[in-house]
Amino acid sequence: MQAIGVAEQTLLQAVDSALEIRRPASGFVVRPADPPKPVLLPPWFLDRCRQIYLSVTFDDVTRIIGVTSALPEEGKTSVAIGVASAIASDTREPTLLLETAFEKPALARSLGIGPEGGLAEWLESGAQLRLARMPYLPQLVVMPSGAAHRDPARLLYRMSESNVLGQLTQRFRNIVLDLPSVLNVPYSSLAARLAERLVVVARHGVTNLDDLESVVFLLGRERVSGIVMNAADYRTPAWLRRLL
Amino acid sequence: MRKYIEVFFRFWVRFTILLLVAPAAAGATTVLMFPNYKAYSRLWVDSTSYFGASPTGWSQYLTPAQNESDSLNQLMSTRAFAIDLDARMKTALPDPAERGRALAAAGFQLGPLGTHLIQVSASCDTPSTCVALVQAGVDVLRDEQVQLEKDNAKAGIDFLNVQLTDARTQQQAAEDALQKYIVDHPGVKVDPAAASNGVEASRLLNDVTQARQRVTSIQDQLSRDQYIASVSTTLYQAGPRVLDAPAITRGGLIGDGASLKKAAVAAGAIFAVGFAYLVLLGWLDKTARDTREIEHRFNVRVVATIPRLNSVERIG
Repeated sequence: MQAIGVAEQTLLQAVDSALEIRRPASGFVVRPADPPKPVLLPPWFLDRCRQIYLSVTFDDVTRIIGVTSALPEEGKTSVAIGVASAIASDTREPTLLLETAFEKPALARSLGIGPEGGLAEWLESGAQLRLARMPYLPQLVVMPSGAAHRDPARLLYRMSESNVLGQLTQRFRNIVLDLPSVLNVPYSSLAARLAERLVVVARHGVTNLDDLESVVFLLGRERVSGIVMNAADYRTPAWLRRLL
Repeated sequence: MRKYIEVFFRFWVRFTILLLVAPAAAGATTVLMFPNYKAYSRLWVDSTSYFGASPTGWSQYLTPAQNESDSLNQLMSTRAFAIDLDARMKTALPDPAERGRALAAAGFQLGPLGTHLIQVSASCDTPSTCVALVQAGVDVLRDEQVQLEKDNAKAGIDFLNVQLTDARTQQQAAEDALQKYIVDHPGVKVDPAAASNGVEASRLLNDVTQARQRVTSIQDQLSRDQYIASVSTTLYQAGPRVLDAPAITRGGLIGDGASLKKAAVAAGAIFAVGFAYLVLLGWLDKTARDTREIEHRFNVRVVATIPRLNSVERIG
């Protein structure tokens, strides 16, 4: 626990460092050491993600939304980025996008940043935590899970036992968790407990309804705030769909 | 429903072929391969008022054409008609198999067109067969009708003749008994008009009178029946007269619509196969596609539907 306590200090230092507005010296421009690749999400995509977070009601002042899915490759990382971007853009409040899929990280790759210095390394050894600020959205901070870990369940257990999220909520009013997929990751239910509200991503024409039913059952219907139909590709003409 | 429509549009090329193009092609091919012709003949039925008597079975409340149609339709439904028609078609269609097919598909129709006009029609795949069929059908019907009427009349007249013979025998016996009584009683006067005849004489005289009346009655009935039979037979022999000789009324691809029916069956069969395939695909698809279905099944809202990102828009 002591180790975690020390790590929490480094965590908050890293967060404060990430949130600090650095004034460039005259004649110089501040250039982050490892800036994330700009993510150009189309406006309509952000609008749909805005729909997601606006549809979720929260009991507390702090919003902690978990984004998960039945199986991998259903688009939960894209939706998590979109939701976090929409919240940060709309509220102008410090927003954190936190990845907890330790066994198969995708966020760092999606944002084009290196895998080292992620949440996994910090939880494992208290290594220096690297946070990334999204270009054009300085209030959005990304915390990738780092390199793939051999024992992700242990890391997540440590995370859930410590007060990491509690500390983070002191700095971030909005936290979006990119959770592991439910059916193929054994510790997914543990990860899901970190979130206050859950959103399940289902890929149109890919996600099996029985799998989706299992996910809703495993997570608990009362905790699932909604399902997101991702990559919808309807072939029925819109006017006909409206009639049906 | 939404699910199956989505399946249709997802595989629209496949289902356009299966549900529209293939049935249309099958229907068109069927029409081209199985042309259909229809021949008809129109017959005139004379009014019976010229003869003062009606053929047996005719209703006074129906028109001659209706009465005649009723009789002919009943005859047409008999096996005897089919056998006679087959026999009569041997010249036109010597091949028994071909003849059997033509007769089975003929679809004879007979009905009144007015008070005195009747139309007989039949369908087949060649014009000559059609005309021959209608001609043969009319001939067979008329022959059977005349024969039936003759048979009926003969049976009735034969019965009455037997009755007449019997009555005449009884009359002769009664007269002989009376004559014998007069010979045996020379003093007795028998006067048919007198009321003072003896008891026995009166009885014998009464027997003779009754026997004569019965003979007269049977003779009257026989005469009337012979007249009616004659009239009926004459009526059937004289008519119905063929006004329009058998001719092709509609021919080619459409005919009487039978080829269209076949085309509809072929098109319907292919459509059914395509539709079954669509239902099967829809039934086998257990993936999340319909937001209403998800909400109904899991009782969880679908908070957003995000369209597919194209490759340029995709992250990473």
